[in-house]
Amino acid sequence: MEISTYARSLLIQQRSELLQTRLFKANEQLVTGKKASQFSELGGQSAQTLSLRAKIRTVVQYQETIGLTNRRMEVMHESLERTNKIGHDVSTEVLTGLYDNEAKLPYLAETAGTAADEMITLMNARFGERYLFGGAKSDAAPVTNLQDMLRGDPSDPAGATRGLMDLVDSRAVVDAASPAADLPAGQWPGHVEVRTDGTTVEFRLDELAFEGFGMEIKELRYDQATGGTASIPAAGVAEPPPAGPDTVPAVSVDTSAVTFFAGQTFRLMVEMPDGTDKSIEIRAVTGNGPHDRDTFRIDYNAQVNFTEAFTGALERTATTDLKAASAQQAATEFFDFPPKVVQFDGGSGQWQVVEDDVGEVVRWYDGQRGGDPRDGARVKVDDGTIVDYGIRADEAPLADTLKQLALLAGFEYDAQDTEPYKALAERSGSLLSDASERVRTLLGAHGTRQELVAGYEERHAATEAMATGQLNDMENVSQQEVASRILTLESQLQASYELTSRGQNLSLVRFLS
Amino acid sequence: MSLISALNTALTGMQASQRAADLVSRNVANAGTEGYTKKTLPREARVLDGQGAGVVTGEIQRSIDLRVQAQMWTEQSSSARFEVVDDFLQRLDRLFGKPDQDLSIASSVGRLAEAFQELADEPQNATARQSVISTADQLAQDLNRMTDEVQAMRQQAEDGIAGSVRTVNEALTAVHQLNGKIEQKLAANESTAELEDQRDRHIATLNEHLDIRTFRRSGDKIAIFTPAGRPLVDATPRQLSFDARTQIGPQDTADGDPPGVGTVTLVGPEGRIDLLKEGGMASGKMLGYAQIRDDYMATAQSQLDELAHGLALALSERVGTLSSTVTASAPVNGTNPVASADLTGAASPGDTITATLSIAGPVTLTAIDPANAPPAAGEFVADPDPEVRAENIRAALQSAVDAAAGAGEFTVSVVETVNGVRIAIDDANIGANDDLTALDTTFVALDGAALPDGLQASRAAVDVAAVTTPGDTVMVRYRDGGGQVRSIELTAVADPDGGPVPEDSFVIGATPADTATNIRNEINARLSAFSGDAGTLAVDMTGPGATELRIDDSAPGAGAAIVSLHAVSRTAGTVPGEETQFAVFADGLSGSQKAYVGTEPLQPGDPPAQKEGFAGRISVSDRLRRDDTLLVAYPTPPNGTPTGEAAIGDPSRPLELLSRLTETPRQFDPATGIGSPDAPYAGSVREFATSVVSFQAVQTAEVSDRKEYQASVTETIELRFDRSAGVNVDKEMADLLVIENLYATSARVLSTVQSMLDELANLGR
Repeated sequence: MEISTYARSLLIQQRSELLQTRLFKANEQLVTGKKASQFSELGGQSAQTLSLRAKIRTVVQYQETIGLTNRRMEVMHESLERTNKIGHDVSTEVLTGLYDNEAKLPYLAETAGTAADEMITLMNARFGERYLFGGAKSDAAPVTNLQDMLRGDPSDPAGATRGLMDLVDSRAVVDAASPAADLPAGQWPGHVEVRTDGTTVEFRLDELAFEGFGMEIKELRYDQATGGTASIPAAGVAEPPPAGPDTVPAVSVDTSAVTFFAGQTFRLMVEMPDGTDKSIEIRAVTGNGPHDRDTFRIDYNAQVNFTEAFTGALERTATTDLKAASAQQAATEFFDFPPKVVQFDGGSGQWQVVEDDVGEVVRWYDGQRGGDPRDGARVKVDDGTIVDYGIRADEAPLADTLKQLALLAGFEYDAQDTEPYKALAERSGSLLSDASERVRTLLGAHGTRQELVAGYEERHAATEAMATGQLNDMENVSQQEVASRILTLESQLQASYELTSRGQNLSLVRFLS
Repeated sequence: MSLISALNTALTGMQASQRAADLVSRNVANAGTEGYTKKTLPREARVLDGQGAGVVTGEIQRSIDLRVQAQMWTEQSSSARFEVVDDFLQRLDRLFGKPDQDLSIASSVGRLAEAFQELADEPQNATARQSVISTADQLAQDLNRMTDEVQAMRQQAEDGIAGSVRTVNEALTAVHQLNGKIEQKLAANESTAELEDQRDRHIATLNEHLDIRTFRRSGDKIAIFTPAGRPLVDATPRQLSFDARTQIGPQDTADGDPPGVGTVTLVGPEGRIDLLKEGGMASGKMLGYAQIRDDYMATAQSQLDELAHGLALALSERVGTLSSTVTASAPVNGTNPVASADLTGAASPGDTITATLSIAGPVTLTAIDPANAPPAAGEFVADPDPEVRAENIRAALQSAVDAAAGAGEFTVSVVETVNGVRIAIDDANIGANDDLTALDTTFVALDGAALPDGLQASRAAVDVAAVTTPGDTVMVRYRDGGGQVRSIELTAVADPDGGPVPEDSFVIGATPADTATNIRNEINARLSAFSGDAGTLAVDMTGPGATELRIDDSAPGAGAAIVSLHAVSRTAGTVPGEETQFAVFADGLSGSQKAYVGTEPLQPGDPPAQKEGFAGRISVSDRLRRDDTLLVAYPTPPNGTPTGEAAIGDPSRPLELLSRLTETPRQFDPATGIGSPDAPYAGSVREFATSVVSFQAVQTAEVSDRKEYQASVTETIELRFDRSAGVNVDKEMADLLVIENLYATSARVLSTVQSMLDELANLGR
């Protein structure tokens, strides 16, 4: 083709420029390892690379989130496991002290105190800046310290000066869980008065007994000489003045109509303030000489003996079982939110259990309340999937464990009279064991959630690897391919220069002289 | 014949050779001059009285193929337009950074999502809250910066048009003047070749900037017209005028009244013509600049604005219930908790199924090989037949649950669905356990079985009492029985008073409960419209005022899964306790912000849509800057009962914000070029951001390809033109040799004649 000289030099220049541009691009690719230096060079693939990159970012973030959650859940797991073990150990210790080795008894309070302290520390576990057992309210320790819990905080500016044991003490007074000698006139231990009228013995609540306090009389049962058991249910009798026409439960038995015989048992069935039932039992004996506690001798004075035995049994029950049950109920009221206190209402002339709306009682728990405790900690593990894994110190299994530990730690131990403490330990021991089992259930469910969350992490890791691979395929250049392209381009460029130089030599001008 | 005539003939030969040599020197001298065409000298034999009398040369002529030249100009004009457009688009594309550097606007949105996720992990962490704010700030600044760049490019395009108009006007004047000179030369019978070259250069310049048509008139004059036939140069020259603007912003558009940008006008007897808007203009730099200014960059701006609009609304709108996306909670059917799951995946021996019950510990079943039947307690036979296997699971689960929680507490049943078989656990004995308020059931099927989605029947609920204003929306997203995600988006309209209700709308009723009923009916109608989806979701209203819209996917046999349900109300202050509207982004610079609600002009005279140019104004809300705990704390807890501030450790709000950014589908305006009016783009804000970047990348790549193609077409035609009109120095040198020889020979003839004449003179002595 005939081509003008100008066009020829222009063409050579353009072609060399094109080759140089390509060479530059190839060199750039070799250095960066990437096909494109701007999105348009990827063209239609840009949408895919962008979404892959977004995908990778997302799953990496999910993995970080899950990693953090895993560590948090692990701390929670360990705390729960330890709590479970503490509860279990202390309940075992209690049972040993009660039934195997009484020498341990004096030290139970201390053991329980140490355990309660440890459990409070566990419930106040932090991870990063977050308290783990306070639900969504994670910026303050959820559980107060044992000392304040038991006896209130005298230095609290809000005036929360009463603790668990203060509530136990005041409840014991209102429940009349004391020996007769310590009670004001007109009150009987547990509010149960034993009256004698001729041959009739009547058990009735005293005039100061109020709904829900002291022991509630249910029925009287006794063995009949003819075999079988007689049962006299409690019935309402009019309360004597000045209390007015209200009725109080009472049960009475005409001793003249009962044939006493040796081995015969009389049981007064009562309900304790914490809702448990108790049978107060005496047994008839014959013969002379000393006889056991809670027995009465069948003699000329059998009715008096019978009355005295029951009076004694009621007094012992009041100072042991009732005291323990009263303490349990006080603890339940303390662990409620808001806590409840016993208070005399001048208007109705009644003692009542009311919410502490003035804040005089220490709040044992300062975390999130209400709702589903699981919602207190939530983690987004995948698009559209949120796992709720919160566990709160105020959940029944944990609160119950702490409640029993605190009671065991704070309840007064009297070396002279160990019976009240034993009565409490008996109740607390089994409740603690039960609570501890429920902590295990909580732990199991938590473990399942841990596995669930961990499963997502694996999946995200797999997704990340896959997406990264795809992205590399799309974005990265093969070093060999680029290297060989550079070689080709270099030889093309060399050839082009060579041709230029020879082309110049081939001008007719050179051959004319 | 005489010696004298031979002398004269040789003389003409020598004169012709001199002129030819002169031409060669001109050609060679201009071999490198752009626009110079090769000149030729026509020569013919001179005849006197029928006798040959030497050689005569004509006027210098151009060697040129006019058809090829015209085609070349057209192609060059196209190339010029593509080069302008490509140059700007490349710059726009580079604003997104390198693909591997994650600097694009899509990455910025992704980073905000990450910050929300981190905040959800540690809501109480002040650093995490600050990190959200600084990331949001960065995103807002990215949008501001891109708006500035896009508008700067529009301004440069405006300046480009102004430059083009000046150049075109100069060229038009020059062509007109040259037309006159050429006519004069022609009349004087002189060569017009050089003047024509000059004129062609001006016409080429005109072509570079403008799409024109040329016609040759008598006297070798060239008339120039626009594609629509308006004369630019004919009897008289015309001039273009351009009212260039110096400060172009997003609101300044060519469609405005008056236009916010300059207009190229041609003034003539027909009046003022908007040159670029008149039909047929297809090439030239001026058109390229105008397209950049009014189409490409305007589209880019509308995409940025739409993104900013979506961001601001998604992260600030009030929704009836904050945590309205309920995807993985145990459903409650009336008062009877039911959980169901597709367990057909548990088909291989060793797979396990775990059910966690609220009143007993986890119950785990393990699949065993049919060869090892009969199963022991806690095992079931993984029969290959899904139906048999389902029954095996049911029986094993029932006895395991009975053992754990006591007989009669739960009923396990098999529910047939489109996709297979689900196992449902029903708290049959709700009254028996006072502490059982909800059934917390989690199934884990290992060995690759699909995990969360579809595992549990889900329910989403949202209070629609706040939906009171036309324009409010209700959105439902669900996965149908075939696994495809479908969206229903309904917009509130006022009662049409007997008229037709527009499509995808619902009527605002007299009471909120009426509105809720209308929404329910409309959702059911939409479900029926998707063939096969009718009845797959149960839609009903509950709550004290019957305004809580509740959708669950527990319908037996449906296989559908509810993904999300949102009600969005844009009216401020209609719901008690909602006055303190939360917004991540606001409109305007810090210090003079107003709320972004996306107002639109409803009638002429209204201010322009708030969306217009919003990307340039978006910023992080000052209120949020002052109090970053707003990212976590909110006055109304998820259940809708105001009970004071949510705890600072509550991740609900960050999670909600995250899902609104990355999951909640929104519809985006098809005017952005992404999506079409019939099938608008529906996706999350993050997905839209990605679409914006890839839209620009694909567009730039396409334009770049077309530019390359056009360049090669232009080059080919330029070479073709050059074949006829270009100067080849070799050829000129060869011609020179011939001329030299001719001259030498003529000189020889002269000298021979002289010696012959001398001879003759001596003879006479």
